[in-house]
Amino acid sequence: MNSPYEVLGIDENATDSQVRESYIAMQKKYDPDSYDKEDLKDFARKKTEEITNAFDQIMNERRVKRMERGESVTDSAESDERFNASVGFSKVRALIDENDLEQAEMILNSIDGSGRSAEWYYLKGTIFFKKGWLDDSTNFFAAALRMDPENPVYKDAFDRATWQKSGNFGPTGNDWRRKQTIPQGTTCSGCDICGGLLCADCCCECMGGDLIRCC
Amino acid sequence: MFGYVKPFVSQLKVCEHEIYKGIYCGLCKQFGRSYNQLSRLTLSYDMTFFALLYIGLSDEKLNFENKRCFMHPFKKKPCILQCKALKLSADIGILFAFYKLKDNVADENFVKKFLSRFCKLGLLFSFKKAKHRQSEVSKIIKDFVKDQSKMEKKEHVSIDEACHPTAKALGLIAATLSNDHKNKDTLYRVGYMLGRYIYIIDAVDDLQKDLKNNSFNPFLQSFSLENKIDLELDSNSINSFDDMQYFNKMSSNMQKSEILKKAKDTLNFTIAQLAEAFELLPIKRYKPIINNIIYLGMKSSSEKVFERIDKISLKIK
Repeated sequence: MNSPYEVLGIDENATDSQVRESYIAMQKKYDPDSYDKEDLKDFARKKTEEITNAFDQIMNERRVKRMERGESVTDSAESDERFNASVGFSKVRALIDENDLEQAEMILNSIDGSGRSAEWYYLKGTIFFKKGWLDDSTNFFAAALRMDPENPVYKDAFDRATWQKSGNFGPTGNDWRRKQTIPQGTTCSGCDICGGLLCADCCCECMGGDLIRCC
Repeated sequence: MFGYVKPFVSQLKVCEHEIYKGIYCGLCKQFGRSYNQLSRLTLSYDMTFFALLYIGLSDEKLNFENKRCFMHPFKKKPCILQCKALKLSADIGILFAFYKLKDNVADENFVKKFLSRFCKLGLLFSFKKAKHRQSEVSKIIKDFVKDQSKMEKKEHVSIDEACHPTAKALGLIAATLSNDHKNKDTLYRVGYMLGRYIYIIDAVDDLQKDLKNNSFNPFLQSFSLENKIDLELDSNSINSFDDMQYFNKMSSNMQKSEILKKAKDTLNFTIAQLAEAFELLPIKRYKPIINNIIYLGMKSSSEKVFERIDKISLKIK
């Protein structure tokens, strides 16, 4: 089994902020939403869990050492809002996956100020979407996309909402269930049938045959 | 509230249409069998949809027979005989109707109050029977009526929040249609989106009426209607106007088209999400009929409503 330092790809002597930075970087790298295929998503989720456990282990060990040395248990970086938000999000994602939307929403609502990043808005939108509050979810997806226009996941979520709002079904731009247009006045009347048969008879006679003998 | 979840008949196969009518007529007969003849008036397309969904998920053998009825006394029509789906849908139908009437009794309108009281009395025994048979569903609907009236008293609600009580109730009821726990979440989503659809389309259909009676309507909350204050001052002159003219004066500004656009977008999204959830269900039979209702029928019903509301405004121009 790899040591937690190996999992995060850092040296044992790395400072606390270096540990945090590498944790955030690894979380971003193995973000399940960045992957389309289900098996890749699964792998990403497992990796994220491994990374979170490694990070927790390292921080706990360091906290215990600090206690033994008689120093203060918390260090300055722990009050970093942005960092706390990032840690909070992996928990939020896990709760959303387990369908515990109330708890996930509570955690998100407890983050404010600079912690409300594009990811915060995206996750809030996801919670609303799962709850079935489609209007609110679209607004939050739109906000996430405004804050991070290059993110493919936020763009996909917003595009899907726009696609389905226009009256289409399924994923954006899909062909297999094209917009079901309700035909207006495409029913066949008797005149259509007769007219069609007459035309067919004429064409047939031009070719030397005869569809309707009496015409 | 009822009559929007219908099939798009011209795109149904004849045999599929016959089956659908068989379920509809079968449900009517079931009301008469399980309860009394008055309860047959609570028959609706929405309950037929529930019955269809239940039948689609189950394996129960169905028997069709040609039967006569009050509406068609001369020609016999094909009808499904007693089955679990019809019994369940009839129970749910009675419970919904009774609680809706109870809600109407609390209305200020005297005529509505009186009629509702009368119908409620007629359905009282049926309601008690249904409550005993479907205690879980009865509790769901009772909570729904409470939540709905609580929501309507709020100062300002979003469309999502306004739909939530109806959607949640139908979601929970739909989840009872299957004992397989794997399907319950999907059925909840289908029912939730169905509830959203019914609530929104009903709200749009009632725009004119709610405007006149100053009743709660989530779409009227979101937009302030400039002319409304002027009309209230002119209320004496308005009494002589008929419904259409009253509404036309209100809708001559752009805000009405904004309301319709917002409603259309949300409805489309809701139907698409309903379809997405529905595709995950293990439907064993009659899937083409349900497909027709979801992919064509619901859109068609909503377009008819939008056309009607649009036409009202055109008269002014």
